[in-house]
Amino acid sequence: MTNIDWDLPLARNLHRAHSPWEESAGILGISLRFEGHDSFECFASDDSPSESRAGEHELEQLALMITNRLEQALQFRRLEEQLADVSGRLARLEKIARLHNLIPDHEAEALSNAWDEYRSSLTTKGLLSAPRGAQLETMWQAISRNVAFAPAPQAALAEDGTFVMSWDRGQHHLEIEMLANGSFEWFYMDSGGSSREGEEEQPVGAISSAMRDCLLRTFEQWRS
Amino acid sequence: MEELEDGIVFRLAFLQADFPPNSPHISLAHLRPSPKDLARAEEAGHAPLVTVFDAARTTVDQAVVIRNIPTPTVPFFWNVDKIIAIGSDAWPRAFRVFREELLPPDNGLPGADGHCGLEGLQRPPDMPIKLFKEFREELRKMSRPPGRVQS
Repeated sequence: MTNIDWDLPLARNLHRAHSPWEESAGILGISLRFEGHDSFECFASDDSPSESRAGEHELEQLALMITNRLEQALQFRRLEEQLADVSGRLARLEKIARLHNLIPDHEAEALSNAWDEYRSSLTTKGLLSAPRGAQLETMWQAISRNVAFAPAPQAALAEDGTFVMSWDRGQHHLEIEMLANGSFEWFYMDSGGSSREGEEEQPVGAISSAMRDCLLRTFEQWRS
Repeated sequence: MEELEDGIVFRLAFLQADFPPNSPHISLAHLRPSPKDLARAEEAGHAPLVTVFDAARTTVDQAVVIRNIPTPTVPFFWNVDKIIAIGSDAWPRAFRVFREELLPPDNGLPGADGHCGLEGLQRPPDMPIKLFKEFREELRKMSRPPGRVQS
């Protein structure tokens, strides 16, 4: 195969510049490069033997094809540049949105989805009875209503039937124990200070103002 | 009962409903005395003991056979000297570790002599509940999964 490297200014005038090619035997492929890094290959015919001489008509066809491909490539390049510009703008907007806590990060979002699935799986797997599952849902909805963003907790079921949720971020620790008798206890601790808060024997779904403050104080850490 | 002052103990966490499944510390749920622990304590007339194993005498595999629970388990480890350092002036040694002999036929199983009980996970009636939960959280944070060196 004969390959001819062609630069862009010549390629643009290819339809008028095919005469040198007539001297070249067996033109099957032409690779063109412009601006140093893009490369395009055009073929007059896939099945022509490499030693055959290309005719004028074939060269005209080839020139037309190359011109079209170049036009497409240039359009594509312009689109790529526009896309890169838009992507850059989007990335900057996303960064700004994250700084202002307008969107959660993808990892937290994936964990949040997994947490939703996990909660519903507890009753379908028979680990929680339907009434206990409903209590957990009531509790989670109550938490979600009281805060703008509720991250997924660490959670587990104790042997005595207590369902435990806890959140740890930095020096903040918050735990909720949903007891088998239908009440719950919560406890907040700021290990960097002396703040210790908590309540016992709370009816499921009842979020006191003290609890709400501690939820907000803890969950705020996910945004910083 | 012989009390441990040092060494390493571990507790098997039964992962039947843990979220997420690979947490770096044991869940609080696995630090609550089970109904069996409470019944055993009442029968023996002492404070409830939560089962742990002396790592020098019992391997994790042996502990899994001894506990005989048909769910996946993960061991969490503690240094005994750090466990017994948790407390306050009014409540020194909030947690203690005792050797606890198993009853037949479990006492004949390999590694049974490493069976221990961790005392302090049932709040004493006169201990303020927030203090109890603070101590328990300190204990939880000290736990480490296999392969993690305690700092």
